[in-house]
Amino acid sequence: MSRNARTTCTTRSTRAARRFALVAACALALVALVGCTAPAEKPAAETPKTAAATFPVTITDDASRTVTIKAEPQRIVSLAPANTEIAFALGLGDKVVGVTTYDDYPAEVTKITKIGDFTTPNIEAIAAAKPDLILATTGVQADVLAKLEALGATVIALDPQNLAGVYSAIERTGKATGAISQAAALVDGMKVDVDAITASVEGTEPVSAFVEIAQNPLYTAGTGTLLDELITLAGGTNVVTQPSWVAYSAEQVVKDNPTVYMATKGSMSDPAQLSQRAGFKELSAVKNGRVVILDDNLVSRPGPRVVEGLKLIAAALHPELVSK
Amino acid sequence: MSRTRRHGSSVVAFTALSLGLVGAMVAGVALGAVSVAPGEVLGALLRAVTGTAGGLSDTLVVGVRLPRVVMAALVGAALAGAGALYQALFRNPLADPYILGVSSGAGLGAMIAFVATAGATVLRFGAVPLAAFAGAMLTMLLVVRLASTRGRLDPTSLLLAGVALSYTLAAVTSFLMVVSREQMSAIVYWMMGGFSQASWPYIGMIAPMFVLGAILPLLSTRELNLMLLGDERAGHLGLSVERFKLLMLASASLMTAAAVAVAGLIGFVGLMVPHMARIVLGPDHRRLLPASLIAGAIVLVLADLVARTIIAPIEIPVGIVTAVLGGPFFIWLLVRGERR
Amino acid sequence: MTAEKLFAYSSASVGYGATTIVSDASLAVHAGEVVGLVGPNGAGKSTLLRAVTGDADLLGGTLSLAGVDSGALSALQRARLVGVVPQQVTAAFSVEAREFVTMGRHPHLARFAVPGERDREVVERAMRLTDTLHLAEKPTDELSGGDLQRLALAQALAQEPRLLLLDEPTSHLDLNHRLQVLDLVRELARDEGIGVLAVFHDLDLAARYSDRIAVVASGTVTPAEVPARAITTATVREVFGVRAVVGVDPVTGTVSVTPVLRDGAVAPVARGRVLVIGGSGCGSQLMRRLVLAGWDVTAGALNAGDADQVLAEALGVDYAHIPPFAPMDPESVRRVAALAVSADAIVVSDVPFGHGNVENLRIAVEHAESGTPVVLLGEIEGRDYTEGAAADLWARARAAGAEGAADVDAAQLLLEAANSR
Repeated sequence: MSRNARTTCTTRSTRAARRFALVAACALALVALVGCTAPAEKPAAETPKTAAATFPVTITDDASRTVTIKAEPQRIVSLAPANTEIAFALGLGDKVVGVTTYDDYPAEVTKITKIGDFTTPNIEAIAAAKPDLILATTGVQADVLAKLEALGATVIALDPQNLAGVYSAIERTGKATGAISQAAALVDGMKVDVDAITASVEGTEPVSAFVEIAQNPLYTAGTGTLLDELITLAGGTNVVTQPSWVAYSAEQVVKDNPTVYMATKGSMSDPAQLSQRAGFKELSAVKNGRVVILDDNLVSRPGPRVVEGLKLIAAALHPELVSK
Repeated sequence: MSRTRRHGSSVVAFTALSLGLVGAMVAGVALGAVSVAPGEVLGALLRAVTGTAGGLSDTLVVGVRLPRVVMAALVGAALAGAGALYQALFRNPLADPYILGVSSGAGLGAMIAFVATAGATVLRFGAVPLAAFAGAMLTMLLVVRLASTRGRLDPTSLLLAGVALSYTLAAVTSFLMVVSREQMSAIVYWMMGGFSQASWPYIGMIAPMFVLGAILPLLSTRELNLMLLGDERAGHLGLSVERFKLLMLASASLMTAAAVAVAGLIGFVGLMVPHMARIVLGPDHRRLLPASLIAGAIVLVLADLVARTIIAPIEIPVGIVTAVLGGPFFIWLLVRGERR
Repeated sequence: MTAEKLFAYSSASVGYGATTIVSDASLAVHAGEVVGLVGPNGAGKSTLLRAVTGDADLLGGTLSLAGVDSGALSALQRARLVGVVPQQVTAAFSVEAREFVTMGRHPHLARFAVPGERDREVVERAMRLTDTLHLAEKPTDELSGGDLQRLALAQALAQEPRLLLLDEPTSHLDLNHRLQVLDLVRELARDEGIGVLAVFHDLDLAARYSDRIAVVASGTVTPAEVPARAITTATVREVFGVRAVVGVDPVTGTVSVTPVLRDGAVAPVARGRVLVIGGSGCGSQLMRRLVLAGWDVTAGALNAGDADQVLAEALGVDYAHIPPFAPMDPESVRRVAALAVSADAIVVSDVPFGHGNVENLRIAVEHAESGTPVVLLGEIEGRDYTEGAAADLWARARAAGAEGAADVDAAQLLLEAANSR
């Protein structure tokens, strides 16, 4: 399941879809065991952000590859919604010539050519877009990186696991595209926002929280996930202490009795539904009306808007201090 | 039918099964990710009866575990009952809701209803099981039709058609998940199967389906026994075979749909439980069918207990547990069949 | 017939789906009567039975059971009327034999009723009649095919049917049980007025146990007739392509069928016509061998009831017929002479010659002298009962060039050699 932690909620779902196909092939046991034991990835290496906008530049990507970009890229294909958001935030929107069908932000992406979905990017469609830079990710795309390079494009795999990783991804994207100063400004702005949120909850008692990713089975985000980090930064404590994404015991949730119960939009749309679940009406979060629905794209997509996600969580944990 | 010498005594077997079910359910409510002292379990149950429940252990035992155990028992009984029926009607020891593609059909039906009723919680509550039943029944009829040549049902074709169709349905399900991305993750997790969503409203939803699906077969065990002789002989002895089959297939599909609608795809229970019952009690459906229902309940209650406690508080899908038990059993069955 | 008509096909066509197998079939079975169906494999005997229970389709005409149109009967009503014993009985599951038979009570049991005292009695009696009581506690999947067949009959009897349909009901039984089961069926028909429609594989058994027999062949059914009229040399040859001796069994008085050769075994060559001089069975082997080898065989004068005459009838051999034990009359002499004229060769078997049949030899000798190839089997010594007349004729034949053969094989080779010249 740790691979999921590196990607967006929607990608996770699609992997689960493939896993479902495997269920039909009676291979569920194997997949689930792999999913439960894989460790979280290490954060990406910090890169200097003061380099000049001259080419060639060399960066190390999240697949531990050393990549040299010979000239300033003019045609960029993004294979992950988070990468697309970074590119647009750096003002590179008009250079983006291909995105995935999962991309939904900013609104302009709907007009950009779709080169397949996140899990199975279409090599031919990518080639047709004639990119000189491809912003890929690892995980499901690890196998196709070499194939993408064969198209003659430079390929960078970005796969942030935490906030620092997001900053680094932005900075490396800036360096690779000659938007170094924009990247620095974006990261600085994010850090200011994050500092403001953490400052507003500073000194408060950490609020115990649980975040639901799926209902049945009950899936949640454990330690080492971006969500876990956001909860901590927002002045909370995740009641889940197991690493990565896990199917979690409902009765353990009842025992943990989190003060705030959060659920992603993809899992639950109506907070009132929670009280209908066995034993959950006894949860203090349910009794006290502290069930909050989170936008998956903000809280689990490792892009610039993760700050908004942090703010959502902080507002859920400390409504008296932080407003949405 | 009386038993032959090879088979065990009815009285002993049904006493053991009843005690087993009670034991499994007691274990199911007594054990869990959070440990509750035996005295507290008993106290919680007593307080539930007297209506004075309140504390954490009350919530855990009565609120969380009891509905889950009851639901696992219902789903297990439904799947095993459906499996026993399919095996009787097709005279095929490998028939079960999963292999015949009926589970996948119910799954697809349920999923379509799931997507179509997004956001309408109340509507979804009724539509999902109904659509699951429609999907199960249509799949069943299609599989039977595909496997029949000139009114004769070839056992190998039946299994092949079932497997082929279940792959096709799984593919359609995957496709629908891709195109309805908003609902995707919810569907995917739901299809993986399990009881973490167990609740009294869900039990209230599937219990009538289960009872409706089980009652007719339980009252038709003599006719089911005639089916052992083959369609033609059953007809010679006065059974309206086509009509009876349709009724029984509808009953089996109803039970399958009840199980799939709340617990997703759980394999092997429908296959292995009737076999175990047959080995112990013989082929007489007056014993086989009720025994399968009870044993199915026991197996899933225990499998779910394992699924939620073995690496608690992390839960593993109950399908893994049944597959780990069922896979080797299936192989043993095949090997044993070859040796005969 | 005054007995109730329990079963009646009227201008019926039966088959599967769009395929008609038997058409325009009219056939009735009355209470107390055993009607046999015979015919080659695949002719549709079983289909006629299977259409009664809906296992084959009634595609035209009508079928009535005890006066009721079969389409108006539910499966349950039909099962109270008609018991079926199938060709193949399988029981790949383990129940006690007694339970297996008790399944036959199904049409008489109310929806949720359990078998009662009377049901147990009926089952007990059915098992006693079929000699299966000793198997009562045995699991069905450990029984032999023959045991299962008798249990299937017991199961059908447990239905207390008025009509029994038997599809080769004795195919898996040993001789003793075969006769036992068929005797039982006859008794049930006679004593309890059960009507029986049975497919028979074996013509002898069909003739022995049926009151009437209908022949199923070439897509239709002949009217059911008493065995002696239904089963004749002609019908056996026409329907089965077998030349057989059909006679009345001297012991049982029933028709018996002794196959001689299959039409399909006759060599597909035209070898010419040969006249066989036989009698007293001495020509039988020659006639059969020569027919098989492709000869157009004729025979000299033969007495009715003589073994060679019976065989000549079975083989369809043309010959001169004379009454039992009578000598050849002028008419038969003319007939033999005519056959000799049209023959390409003549073979004289080692039949003893007396005054009654020596004319056969004389005709052969005359044709030998006029150049027809003649083969003489054996020597004349010891079988001349004409005070030397036959021996003289024999000598004349040898003088005219007739060749001698020591045995049938040699005779056949000589004939073939003569024919190819």
